[in-house]
Amino acid sequence: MINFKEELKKFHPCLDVDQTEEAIYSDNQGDVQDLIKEIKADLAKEEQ
Amino acid sequence: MDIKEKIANSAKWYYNLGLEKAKEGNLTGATANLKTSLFFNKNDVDARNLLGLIYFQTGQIVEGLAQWVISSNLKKDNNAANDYLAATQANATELDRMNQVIKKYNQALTYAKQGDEDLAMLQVKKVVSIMPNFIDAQLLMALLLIHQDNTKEAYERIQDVLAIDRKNSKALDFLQEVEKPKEEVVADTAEKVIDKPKKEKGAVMERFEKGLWGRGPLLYVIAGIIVGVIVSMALIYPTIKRSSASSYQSQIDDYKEQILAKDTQLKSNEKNIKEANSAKKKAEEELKSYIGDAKTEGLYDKLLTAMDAYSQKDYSTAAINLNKINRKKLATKKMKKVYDDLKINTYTTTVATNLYARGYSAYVNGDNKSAIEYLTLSIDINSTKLTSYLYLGRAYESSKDKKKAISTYKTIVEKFPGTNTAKDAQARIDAMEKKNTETKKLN
Repeated sequence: MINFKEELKKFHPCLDVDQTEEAIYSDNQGDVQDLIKEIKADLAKEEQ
Repeated sequence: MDIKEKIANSAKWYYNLGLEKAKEGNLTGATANLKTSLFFNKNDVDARNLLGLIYFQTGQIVEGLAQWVISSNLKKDNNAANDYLAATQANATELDRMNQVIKKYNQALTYAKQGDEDLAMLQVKKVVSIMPNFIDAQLLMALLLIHQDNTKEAYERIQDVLAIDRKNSKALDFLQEVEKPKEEVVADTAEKVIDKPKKEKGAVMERFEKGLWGRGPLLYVIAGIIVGVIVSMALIYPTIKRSSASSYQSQIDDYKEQILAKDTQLKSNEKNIKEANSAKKKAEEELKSYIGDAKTEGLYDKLLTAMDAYSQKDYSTAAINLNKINRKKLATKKMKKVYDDLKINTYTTTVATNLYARGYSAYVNGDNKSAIEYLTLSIDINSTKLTSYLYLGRAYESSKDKKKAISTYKTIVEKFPGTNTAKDAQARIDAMEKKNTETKKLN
């Protein structure tokens, strides 16, 4: 049985065109290669 | 093959998988695969372009544009994203129309969440008529229709969504709801007619009637006696009735009092039973928190899991399980010592780094809940890593928990002043707080 209120909570507002910059900015994340670099850097710091 | 090549191959593999699914009309699956492709290689323009197309196709215009803009910045020449952006920008009127439709959808959603379903339906109908491929709008309308028991039209909206994205999980859930077999209502219009037995004069009655009026004066005497008896009874009976009624009444009153007493006792018993049940439930819950049940782990299970993980040198899993335990609830000193020893050996910077990696990976794959869990614990162990705070804030933001997102970004600004990340964090705080103020004004 679908719970109307619970299902409604899963809906979120859509970004409008004014928020394009925000959308671009929020996508600016690293990938696996960046992650590996960070881990290497952290491990290097620990060794020091 | 070195690790870079392996990573590049993984990215391509997921891209191809996503492309295949997109061609089959499974846009949900395609989106997941393309995001994984970008997790392996954020610079894969093909994955970004295709992802942008899928977003655009399903009504997520801004997300689509964002992917094409990023793609265009990564590769300026010979890139399909440039064509897509040019086509969008060339038709500014159309873009503005889409923007208005998005705002209408957001308004419909606000109305629905406020309980104004009629207004919500009015708005979302307009949205769907202008942009029938706007999946979220179609699904919102389907949900409202299901709530109004209009399963026929809801079914049509759901089919419209599945025609665009055949594995859309919300649509499939709603479809199950509207396809439930309805109980057949059998109209019972036929009335059962019961043939009442006709009263028939029997032979005995006939003989009696004949005989009665054939006996003359004797009959009148007998009738007179009968009438006399009836009259006297009529005169005496009320008195008899009154006195017996009085005794009956007192009996009735007695019974009423007894019933009332029993009723009161019953209510008191019910109250005692309710209190006993409540105490029992509380005790069961407390016991469950210690020993767990078939579905959830209790405290001791978590401690055992932590110990097991530690013995297998999986210190991160050990730390995660320890984090779930409330030390105060551990019953004995020995248990507390085990907990403390494990914590000293697992809450290390290496584990913090590992947890950061897990949290980051979870965030990128859209699993904000896990990302928050891992990154929070990572920060708990090592509070000096800036990027842990950054992605924690992003994960809160993605899961629409503005309060915690703002709090995390404020921590970045305070702990790491002057860094680019701190500036970015402040900009995000300002944007979210501005949005909050605007939302309050609208309401």
